Amino acid sequence: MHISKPHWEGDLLVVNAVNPTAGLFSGDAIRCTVTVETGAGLLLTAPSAQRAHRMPEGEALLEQHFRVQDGGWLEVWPELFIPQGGSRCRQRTRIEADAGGELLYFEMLAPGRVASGEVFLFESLDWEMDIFHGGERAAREKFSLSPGDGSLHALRALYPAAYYGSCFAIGRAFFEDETLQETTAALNTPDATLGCSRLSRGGCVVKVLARTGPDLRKALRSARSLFHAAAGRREPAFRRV
Amino acid sequence: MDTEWLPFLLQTTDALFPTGAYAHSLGLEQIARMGIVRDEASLLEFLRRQAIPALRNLELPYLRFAYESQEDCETLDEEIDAWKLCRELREASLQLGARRLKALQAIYPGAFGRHHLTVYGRQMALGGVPLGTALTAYLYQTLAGACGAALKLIRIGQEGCQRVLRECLREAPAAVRASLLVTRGEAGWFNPLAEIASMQHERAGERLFIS
Repeated sequence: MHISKPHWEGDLLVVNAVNPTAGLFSGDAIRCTVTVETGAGLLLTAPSAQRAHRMPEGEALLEQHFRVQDGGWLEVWPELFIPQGGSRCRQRTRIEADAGGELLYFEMLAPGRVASGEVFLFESLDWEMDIFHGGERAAREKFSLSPGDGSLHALRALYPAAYYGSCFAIGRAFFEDETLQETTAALNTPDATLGCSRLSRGGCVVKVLARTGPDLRKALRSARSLFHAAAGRREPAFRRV
Repeated sequence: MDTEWLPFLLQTTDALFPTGAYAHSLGLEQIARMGIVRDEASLLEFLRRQAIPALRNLELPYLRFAYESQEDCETLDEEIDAWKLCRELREASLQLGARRLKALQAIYPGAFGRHHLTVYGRQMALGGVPLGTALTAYLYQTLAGACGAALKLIRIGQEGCQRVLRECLREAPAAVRASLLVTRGEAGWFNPLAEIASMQHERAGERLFIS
């Protein structure tokens, strides 16, 4: 991974990290471990989308482990993941936030290289994520997507080339602020359908289905603004050149 | 053939058994409002392509884990808390579980669990119902519940509902068999549409169903 020169925003560090190769190929494995200690703040983002290329055999693996200690703040905005035709990827994410830690974790998934007419032609995506808050499991997601097995049906029901995004907002403010669900609901448009709900513990989640990449990005950026406001934080810029 | 468990199964899966399931559409009301389910054909497609796969890959395996559990189901219930991301679906599951548990305890002391899946799984194990039958009964009740809700949500008659149910049930044996192969680590399904629908339903100004 290439890590840009970090930028200090006054209350947090902005770090752009990117895979310097052309994308993910078979046999690639990216392992990322991030710990935000007490009193620290970090925005971890990327300057561009991540692509996964055709894999005649094998798969690419992404393993991520984020930990936020009491009084720490972490935001992860990784930009779009674009699984190209014939790609196979496995992603494992584990997030652990102490009871007083706060985190915004975004994911954005494209159907493929839509401009080239490549829509949902990847081989498989195998995703697994566990989120713990204060030592207790707050959320779990596990799914395998493959165009041939019907697993994409719900994803494509509203928009045939749907872009999918989510945001897990972990922290006391996000769990307790009931107005977030109302204000997030107001972000719905004909081109972006979304909802927000409170998790069983620790925070809340936003899910978005959008007609295009810009529609997805706009919805998530708006949700991001709401979450920063709810946390009483200034929304940092991504600081890309 | 030993069918001593059959009266227990009939009693605890009958509409007379007071679980309150009739008050829940489990997301179907908002799915209908979105226009995705609007008639007999689209209801059938929704159940076959969204509901049955979710049952096969997530709900039936968890029911099996509860059925086979030798201990209390607290860990299973905590996992269900975590993968039911939407509050409305999670609370519906807890409410149905609590009502089923209360009714069960009145006639069969010893039942336990919090979520509907765990209570149902333990109930079937306690009643000596064979696993495959228990899974099929749950699948049937889920699909029948959706059809019952559809009667109030879209233009479909009783016969239309029965046709949809019959078509779905052709897939039941295969779905149950496939669910038996799903391990604890593999259990999961992706349906952002149902999640978003449930999240929107949670805030809806007008609604017929609790969920």
